[in-house]
Amino acid sequence: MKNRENLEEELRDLSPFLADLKKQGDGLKVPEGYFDQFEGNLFQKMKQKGIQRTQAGGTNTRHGLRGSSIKLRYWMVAAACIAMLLAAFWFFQPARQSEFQPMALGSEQLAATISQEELEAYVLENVHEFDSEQLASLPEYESSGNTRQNKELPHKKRNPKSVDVKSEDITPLLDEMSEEELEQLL
Amino acid sequence: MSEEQIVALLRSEKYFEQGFRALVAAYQERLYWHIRRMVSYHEDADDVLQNALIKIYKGVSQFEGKSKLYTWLYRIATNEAITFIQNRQRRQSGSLDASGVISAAALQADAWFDGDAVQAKLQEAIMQLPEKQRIVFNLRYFDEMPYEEMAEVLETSVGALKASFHHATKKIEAAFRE
Repeated sequence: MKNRENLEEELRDLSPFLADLKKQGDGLKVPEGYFDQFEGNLFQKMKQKGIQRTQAGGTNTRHGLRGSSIKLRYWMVAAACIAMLLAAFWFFQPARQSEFQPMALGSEQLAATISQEELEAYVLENVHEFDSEQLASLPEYESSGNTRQNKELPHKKRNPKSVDVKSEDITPLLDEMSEEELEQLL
Repeated sequence: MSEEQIVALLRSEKYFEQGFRALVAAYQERLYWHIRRMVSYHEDADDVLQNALIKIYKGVSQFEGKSKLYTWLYRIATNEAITFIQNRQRRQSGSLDASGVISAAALQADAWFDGDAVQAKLQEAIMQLPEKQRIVFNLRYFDEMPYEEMAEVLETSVGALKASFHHATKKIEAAFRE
């Protein structure tokens, strides 16, 4: 009602002629009963054409009455993608790479980061995995066997079955070992 | 049935068809007159309205509910009518009247026009307006649509619509003075 008053007022201001003409109407008419039959005609046409509505979640329903759930799905996918990107960035970032640097170091650099005590303890603990000839040929074994005598050996019992060394190979090695070391190894 | 009730039915899978029938019943007449004033002839308006409602049926799930259902329907009907007029102009491009304007005489000869010479002249003057002004004039003058709703339908500002309506009224007055 207010809108109509506003319109009339607006028209009076703009064009009194058009304001008066409006009362006559537009002169357009429709066939009798057109609006009563329209719905039936429309549905008949739709049936003939095989018209089907776009289902929610279909290819053309990015937005819609059920668009909120579809939008939520899109947001979830987007969030998952962002999370994956962040995870990938975190994994490959330079700081992370530095954590893996020791793996990429050469044997000399690696050896520099391990103390002599740690090395010896490791060798003694895993002596069965080393070739006895190789061990025997090491300069440390040849020249500084006495230094090893003063080192503390790990107090773990070795499993004799796991040592796979031939008696003739081990003889020179045993000759160089102290009795204390032998006792602890056995 | 209110707009909210129709929207609620359209949201329901079970009652969608019922909702669409309610939509047609509620808006067919308003949409028809809106289209008819744009395309002039009844047969054309009938075709355009049917096509618009088929598009609405197929794409009603795209209605987000951000605007009124009524303005969304008007927007689709307006676009459908514009497309029809453009196609008609293209078809007539070889003829003498390539503007697509239907003369007052042609309108008076139409079976579904019972107006007098002044009303026919008014229709002719409206047809001669630029497309946007024609739509604005029809929506305001005949449909009495508030500017705020028109702004939603035509996706433009209220100020621009008022200016369009002002220019349209002055041009129509001028057409009658000629």
